[in-house]
Amino acid sequence: MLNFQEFQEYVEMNLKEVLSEEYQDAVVSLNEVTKNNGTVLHAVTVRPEDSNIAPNIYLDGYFKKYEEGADIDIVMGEIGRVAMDNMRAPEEFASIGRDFQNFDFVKDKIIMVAVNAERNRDLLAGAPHQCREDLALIYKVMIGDNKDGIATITIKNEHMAMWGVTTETIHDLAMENTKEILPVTIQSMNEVMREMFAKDGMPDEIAEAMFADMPANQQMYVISNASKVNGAASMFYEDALSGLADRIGTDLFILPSSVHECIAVSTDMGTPESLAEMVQEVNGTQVNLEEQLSDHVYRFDAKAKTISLADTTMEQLEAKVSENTQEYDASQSQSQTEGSRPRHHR
Amino acid sequence: MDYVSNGNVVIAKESRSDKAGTLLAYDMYLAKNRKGGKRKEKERHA
Repeated sequence: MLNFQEFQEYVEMNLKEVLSEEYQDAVVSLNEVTKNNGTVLHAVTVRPEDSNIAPNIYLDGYFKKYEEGADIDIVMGEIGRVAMDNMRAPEEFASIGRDFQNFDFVKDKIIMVAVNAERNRDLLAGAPHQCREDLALIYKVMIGDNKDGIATITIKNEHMAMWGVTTETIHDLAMENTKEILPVTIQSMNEVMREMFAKDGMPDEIAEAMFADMPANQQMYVISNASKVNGAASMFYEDALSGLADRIGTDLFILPSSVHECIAVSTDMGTPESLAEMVQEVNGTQVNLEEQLSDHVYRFDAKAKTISLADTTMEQLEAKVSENTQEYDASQSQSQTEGSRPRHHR
Repeated sequence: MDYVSNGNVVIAKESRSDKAGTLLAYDMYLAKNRKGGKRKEKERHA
């Protein structure tokens, strides 16, 4: 049985055997990419000859299959198929290396995404951002979308320097573009549930009976965006929250259910401490590390139109972080900020 | 799977993994709070 390191090297050495004749000149290499919350993924890149863009296929899931008993030849066949199916990148990506350097090309495509500030501090050290309590707004260029999701490039400091613009410019554009490209959506939880179950084939009348409407101040509201991807940043559009608070008639507690959406409830629905316990439990049992946003609850003050931490304060969080700094540094010292880092044989 | 362009710029393909589990968990927990809230309301009225 190969360990993960050996598995990656095996893939790098043998992948061409499962690629068709036309891809025998492709360059196969290993690299690592750091995703949200410092999650490091290990990839094989297969760059066709004369191409400036290449599929980057993550091997972590394939290794798990292999570890669970799948035959390595079958796993290699799957990796090879994914590589060949994606060797020709979508047309809009083909010239991205050149287009991305042109600020006129990117400026209307810049969007903002909310992430956890502490868990992404390596990324934030090299990327423009604005902090909001324990969260940070980072910026991405959205270069495509379809029914399966969106395609983005995270903006780094070197990109900003290349374009000759400031964080404020990027932020202002992102605030404007995001509400146009990915408009805020607010739906009651029951509405979302009815939609999800109807999609899975549940008859409308049964879904309606199971998730009947309730008084506004007893409901949960899912705040996201039109694509349902990276929608938690929608909570920073105060006017949208303000409309919801008016409807409910109270301030709101905002539960950061994931980077993709938040849940808003009336402040009558519990204490911030009990709601934070719930968030921590759901994060620990239901949400992938890569998609977690925060373990804390926020209060939206309807009158002041502001969001602030409700179950803790930044001072308390910073004190906790400084206690854990040494431990954190040790665990992060091997990783890098998001981007592709070539791997070298040891 | 993502794409990598020249200069190692990662084009990330981002999607939402199944959200039903997360939302159902919140729905279940908050239903308990709702019941608790109703009980407290009744107690107040009594």
